Amino acid sequence: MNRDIIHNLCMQQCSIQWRDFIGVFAQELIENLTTTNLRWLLRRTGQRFAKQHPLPECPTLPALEEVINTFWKSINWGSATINDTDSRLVICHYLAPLQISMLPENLAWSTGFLEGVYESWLHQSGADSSLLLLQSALDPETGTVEYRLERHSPDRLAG
Amino acid sequence: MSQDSDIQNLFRQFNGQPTQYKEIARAEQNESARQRWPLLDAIRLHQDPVPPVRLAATVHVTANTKDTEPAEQTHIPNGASSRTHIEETMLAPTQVEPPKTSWFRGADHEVPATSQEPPSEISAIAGTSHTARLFSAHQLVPIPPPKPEHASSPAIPVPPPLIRPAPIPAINQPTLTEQPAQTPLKNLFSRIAASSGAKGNPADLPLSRK
Repeated sequence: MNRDIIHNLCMQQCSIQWRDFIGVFAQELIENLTTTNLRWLLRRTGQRFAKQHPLPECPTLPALEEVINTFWKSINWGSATINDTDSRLVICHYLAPLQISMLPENLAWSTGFLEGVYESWLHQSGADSSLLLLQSALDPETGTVEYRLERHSPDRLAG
Repeated sequence: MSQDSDIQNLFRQFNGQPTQYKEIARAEQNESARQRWPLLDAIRLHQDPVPPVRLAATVHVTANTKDTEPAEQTHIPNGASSRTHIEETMLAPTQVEPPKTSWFRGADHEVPATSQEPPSEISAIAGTSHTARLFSAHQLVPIPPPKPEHASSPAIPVPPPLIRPAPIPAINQPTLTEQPAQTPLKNLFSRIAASSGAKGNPADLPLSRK
């Protein structure tokens, strides 16, 4: 896919009013916090966001995916796919405004926001607390990020 | 001149037997008790006669006495056993116990001098303690039985019935393997939770707390 086309589409994801402000704010955060702490901060921000925007109860995985995409579309935050494998769920999020708003070089920790959002939504939908959602892959050119829901030990989040 | 000789002389005048004389001083004691305890009249007026007294540890009513009705009560405090209080009242020397030297004090108008009571019963009574004499049925006014609530109320307050708290409903905490999946989505979560877990760390940076 043409890289420029994708960039233009991503630019449309973020409001002009807030684009520069968030970029400068992200640079300031980098000056004062480590990447690990920033990712944790964004992750908790995503959990707070999910609490403010709870999803309705969904009986099936396709229904859950539809509800999630309906919400993302309403705020112009891209879209997502949810796939079921043998032992995990794989969530891919496309065209999130994180790459444009918080600058491409900060995708290493800014994607923690979606990680917190999805994990909270899945726990709200009935996933056990032992199931954690962690980022598994990242495409810096398109900003596509992949997350996996798997069973992890509690010390997985220990620092 | 002693009281005994007076009584004997009196009986001789009427050709009676001094042994047939019955001491009815209890009536006077009852009267004085009534004057001291006005509530006693109210109780006796509105209650049925007291049933026969059963033999207790401290009550000196012998088995020989056929009539074991309790003595007239002086005052029955609320909640107390009437018979227990009778014991305490009757055994008080200043109130109840007659002089040992002379049981017979004189004829009482309520009881005829020539009582129809057989001598054997009097001798039986005379052979017992003073307390037993006090419980003679022919001298005593029937004491109404205590009210059911008083009769059933023991000296020791009955503790309130234990109020068993409502059973705490069991908290349904589904486990990883026993979680009742109601929807296909929850079944999916259960299956993932029951899996062996992540085998490799994600490619991204490890997360850590601040």
